[in-house]
This record gives sequence, structure tokens and C-alpha cells, in this order.
Amino acid sequence: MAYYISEHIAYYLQPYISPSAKFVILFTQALGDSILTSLLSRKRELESDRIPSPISSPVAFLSPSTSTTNLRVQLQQQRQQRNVSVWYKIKFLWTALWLSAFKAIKLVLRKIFGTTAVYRICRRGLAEEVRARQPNAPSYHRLLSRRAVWLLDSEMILSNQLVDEKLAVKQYAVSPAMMGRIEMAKTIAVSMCRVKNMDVTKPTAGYLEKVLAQILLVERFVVEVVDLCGEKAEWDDSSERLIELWNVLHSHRYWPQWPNYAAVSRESRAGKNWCTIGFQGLDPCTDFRGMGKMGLFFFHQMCMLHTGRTVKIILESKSPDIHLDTAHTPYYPAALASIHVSRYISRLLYAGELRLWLLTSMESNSNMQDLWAMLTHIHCYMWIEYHRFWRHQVRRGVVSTVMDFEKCFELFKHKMTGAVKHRPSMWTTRYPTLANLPQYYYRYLFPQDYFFANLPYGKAEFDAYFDCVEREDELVELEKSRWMSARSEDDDVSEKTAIDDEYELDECAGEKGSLWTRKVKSN
Amino acid sequence: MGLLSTIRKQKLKDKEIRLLMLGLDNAGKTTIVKQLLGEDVKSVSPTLGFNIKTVEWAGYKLNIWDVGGQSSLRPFWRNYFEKTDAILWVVDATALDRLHDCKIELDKVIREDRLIGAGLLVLVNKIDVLATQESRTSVLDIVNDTLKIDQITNHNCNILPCSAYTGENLKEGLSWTTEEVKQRLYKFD
Repeated sequence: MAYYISEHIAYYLQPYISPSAKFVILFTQALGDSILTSLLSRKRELESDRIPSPISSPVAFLSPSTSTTNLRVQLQQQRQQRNVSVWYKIKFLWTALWLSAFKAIKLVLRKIFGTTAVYRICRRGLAEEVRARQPNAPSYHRLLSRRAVWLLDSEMILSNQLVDEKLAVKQYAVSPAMMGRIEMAKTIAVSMCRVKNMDVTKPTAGYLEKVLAQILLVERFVVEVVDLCGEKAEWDDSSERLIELWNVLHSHRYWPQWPNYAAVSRESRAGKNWCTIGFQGLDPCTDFRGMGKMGLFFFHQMCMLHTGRTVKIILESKSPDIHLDTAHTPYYPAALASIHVSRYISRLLYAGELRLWLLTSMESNSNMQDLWAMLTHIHCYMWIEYHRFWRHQVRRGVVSTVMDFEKCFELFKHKMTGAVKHRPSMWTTRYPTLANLPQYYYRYLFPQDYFFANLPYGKAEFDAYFDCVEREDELVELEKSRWMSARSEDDDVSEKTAIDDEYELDECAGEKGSLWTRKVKSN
Repeated sequence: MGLLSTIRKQKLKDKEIRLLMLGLDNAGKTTIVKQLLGEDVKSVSPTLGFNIKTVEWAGYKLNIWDVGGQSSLRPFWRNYFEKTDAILWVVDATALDRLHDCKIELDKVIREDRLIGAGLLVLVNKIDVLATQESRTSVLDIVNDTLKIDQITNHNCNILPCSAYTGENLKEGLSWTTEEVKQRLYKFD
């Protein structure tokens, strides 16, 4: 009852409460979110003994792998013995402490309001969803309603009572044929209502059911992605896509016409020199080894959706230049970078780090295609950002040859994981809060290190990002053509200075056009 | 031999062995290392650059340097020859058409001055794909003939069929390498 009243007061007095009070509420929530995020990752760490490996088949998730040799078992035993160190025990105790503090807070709230956390989140989410649907609603209502979904998901993960429900979700993800998604969600919701003492006929139960359907969708999606990783990309069934993307890239107007690029054709699959777009050798399919069809799918989608930017990345990474002196020039194979990025994404997804981003970006009526589109978007985004990061590192002199690729990618992963996982709440990044204070001022303290703070959430933000990228490319092309026409007038400019100038020009245009990352010139 | 033997003694005290993992691309170098460490072998992407992993084996610390095998990375191999105790050369048993390339690269490595005396273990990887014993023997023979391992005189050589996915023969390979390095380091004392 008390909660009901407070909810009504909050709703009806909202126009009269000063905006600062609203932001105080948002900041507190952001702080709570960051604590919850760390709790979730700690819980995952604790359960990591039961999960065999970051990425393997979902069957291995339920039953331990059968193809273990003596050597492997022996090494695993050694590692487990090493794990029980003082540090591990401290970490365990610390986690238990935080978890019990979390439960204690919930107990206090339950004693005061007489409601369970699941019920409170459902009410809140329902109210926010209704508010978000109203005309001219502020955008944070939508985000708050999505946050409720994520909160419910974390409640389920952290709960000790909802064991059967958690198991049912996992089982549905592995074998979805046994029941439809909606019916499954209904069954799980009814059982959750029984555990949490909720009324099944109330709208909160209906909301819980809808949220559970989304959670089931995401779980199933993770398993589908992992399955697709496991499918080998063979030449017979992937040649169509590869040749299609080859043709699309080479017929694009950004692709250079002068002969030293991609002129020499080696004996290769379909008569095309795949090294020029950044594969390792004669058969591009061998490079998709760990990622299988998913790597191919993402690379193909990137080439189809953002052809101009892909061509630019391939040219700037110097993969088509087969006479390149790799020992003295910074270079990386572009297609392999895409495969690395898709591997990174699949690991994030399987480890559960992408859950916050996925649940917040999707809509309540999203289907599987929407999720695939979102994952494609984030792959494109990460590849573009990685390329920017690499160029930046080259300019700073950190990366000088291809051997520095792994190091650079590790750094990129570190930063990107921070942006995906540790960003406590997505709607307060524009304002300095207690929760994002270091992040917010980081850009002013270390301008040369400031990258990827604005990971897009939702379709609209991604569209804005890719529009920005396209505009940037157009601008650079325009400047280049202007420069080329000026150059043809006086012929005495040497080739060397031409390339340098182009590089500089590119940077300037990028700095002007880019809203998303702050670029700082070297020195 | 004053300085060298001091270094050798220091090495013995640390009980560290440096192994260099080489071979053409898609041979399975990273997968072998992952299998040795008990990590997941199914999700491996092409190595661009190098990884260093440490395995404890028979009281020794094996530092395995796993360098990428792509043609643009091969010029960088010689940066890793210094202080290498043994080379693990990985051959892909399913890509016998590339054995000629493999021979050319192997010759370049073997002729290197800094590697003289280092043990050489040729691992014929992906042997689990070949079902019958006859096909395995024939593949081994082909590899032996093409790489001409019998004619290598300045290295202690061994050839082993193995599989990174099932872990077959990896243990034996490590034991052989450790024994070989141990013998060589003791011989000068």
C-alpha cells in the first residue's frame, strides 16, 4: 500500500518536482546498477567452475565434455588445486558479503513495503512502459522500462529460490521444440508467481510473462549464435556469399582503379586473390576456423550494409598492397580483424557480458531477426571503432608492424569490455554522476585515450552512428577528388607527399565529422 | 665456454625451457597450445602476432612461443630465434598440397645460425581426421619424404603424428622435447 501511494505521488507530482530531484533519483539508480553489475559478474565467477569453457557447444553446458584426455584432466586438476589460494578464498568471502548485503537490503524493503523485489520491479516496469507509450514522453521512460527487464533478469540470476525457473529457461534455450516460447514464458511466470506469492490474475503477472518471453528469446539467441559458430564454413556452401561480397567491394566507387592494388592474381579459389581483402591464404574458408559460419555472416553483412566504409578500412589497413614491406609498415589483414571482432562478440555474449546491452537495446516485441540485426550492428560498430583505434595507435607510434596486432586488439577489448559491461546506466552518461564520474572526466584528463564511451543502445542510435560514418566518408572522398583535380593541374608533386597529404586530410575531415569519438592528433 | 656454460647453469637452476612453435598458417599451432593448457580448442581465430604460454611439465617450465604462420608474418620469425631451446614444427596432415611450401620455410629456419643445436620436433597435426592406420602411415611417409627429415644433421629430429582436438600424442611430444633439451644441457657440464 505504501509503495502504491509513493508511486502515485511520484507520478502526479512529477511535473512539480524540480529536475534536479529527478536526476538525483536517476543517479541513485545508476549507482545501484553498477553495484548490481559487479554482483552479477561475481556470481558468474563463482559459477565458472560449473561452466566448462567460455565457448563450446551448449550441450557441454549441461554435461561435461566426453572427449577429454588424461593430459587435459590432469592439467585441469592442477589448476583447480591452484585456484584454492588465499586470494580465491578472500574473493569468495567478499562476494558472499556483497550478496548477503544485497539480500539484506531486499529483506528490509520487503518488511517495509510488504512486497517482493520481483513484484516491485514488475510494477515499476509496467508503469514506465505505460508512460513511455504516451505521446511526447521523455526518452528516459523507455530506458527505465527496459532497465526493469534487465533488473528482473538479474533477480532471476541472483536468486536462490528460482532454481527450477532458471533451469527451465536453460532447457528451453537448448531444446526449444518442446514448447512454444509464449507458453513456456507463461508456465515459468505462473511458477514464479507461486514462489513469490503474486496474484496470477493481476497485470503485473502479465508483465512478468512478457519479460520472461524476452529473456527466453535472448537465451535462445545466445545458443543459436554458439551453434552457428560451431558450423564449419566450407567452400561449397559459402562460396556464393564470398564471391558476392568480393564483387560488391570491387565494384564500389571508393575502390581504387590504379593498377598496383590487387593486380597480381595468384592461383586461388575462384580465381580471386583473397589476400587482397585481408584473408590469410589461398582459401578464405580456412580463416573462419573458430567462428565458422558466424564469422562469414558478419563479414558479409558488413560488406553489404556499409560497403563504403569497408572499402576504406581495407585500403587503410593496406591489405591489398601485396608488395608491401610488412616489416616496416603498419598493416593488418582486414578480414581477419573482422573475424577477431566476431570472436570477441561471441565470447562476450556467451559470458553474459552483453546481456545488459541486449536487453536494453531490444524492444518488447523484438523477434529473432531483430536480435540478429542488432548483433550485426554491434559487429560493424566494433570493427569501425577498432580500425579507428588502430590508426590512432599507429599515429602514436605504439603499433608499428603487424606483430603488434594482438597487443592492440587486447587493449581494444579491454576498453570495449569496459564500455559494454561497466557502464552503469546508459541514460545518465551525458551528465556527471557519482556512478560515472571517472568515466565522465576521463575524457578531459586523458584526451588521447578517450574512446568508445558512447556505445549505441537501440536501433535509432545505431542508425545515427552509421549515418555519421557515411557522411564522414563522403566528405573525405569529396576533399580527395578536389585535391586530385588540383594535383593534375601541377604535375610536379611527387607520389610520396601525395599519400602523406591524403592521410592528413583524412584525419582533419574525420575530426570535423565525427561526433562519436574524440580524435586527437599526434603531438 | 665460460659465459655460455654460466648461462646454461642459470637456465638449469630456473628450469625454464623455451619452445618455438612454427609452421604454415592453419596448421593448428594455437590449437595445440590451447589443448596443452586445457582451454577450449573449438574457438580459435587466426593468430596475428604471437602468444606466449607457460606449461609446467616434468618439473620444468616450458615457455611456448606461438607465432602466427601467415606469409606476411614469416619475415618476423627470425626475431624469436634467440635463446630457443627447441622448435616445434607443425604440419597440417590434411593439406598435403602445401608440403612443398612447408619444406621451403623449414629449410630457411634450419639453416639459421642461432638455432643450431636446438631440437626439432615435427608434429603432423589433424591426424584424427584420417580414420585408418594405413592412411596415417602413408601420410607420415609422405611428410617424411617431402621434408627430408632424415637428412637434417645439425638438429636432433623427431616426427610424431598428433591431434590437437583429441590431445593424442601431445604428451609424448612434450616428453621427447623435454628429454632432448635436458640431455643437451647436461652434456656440456
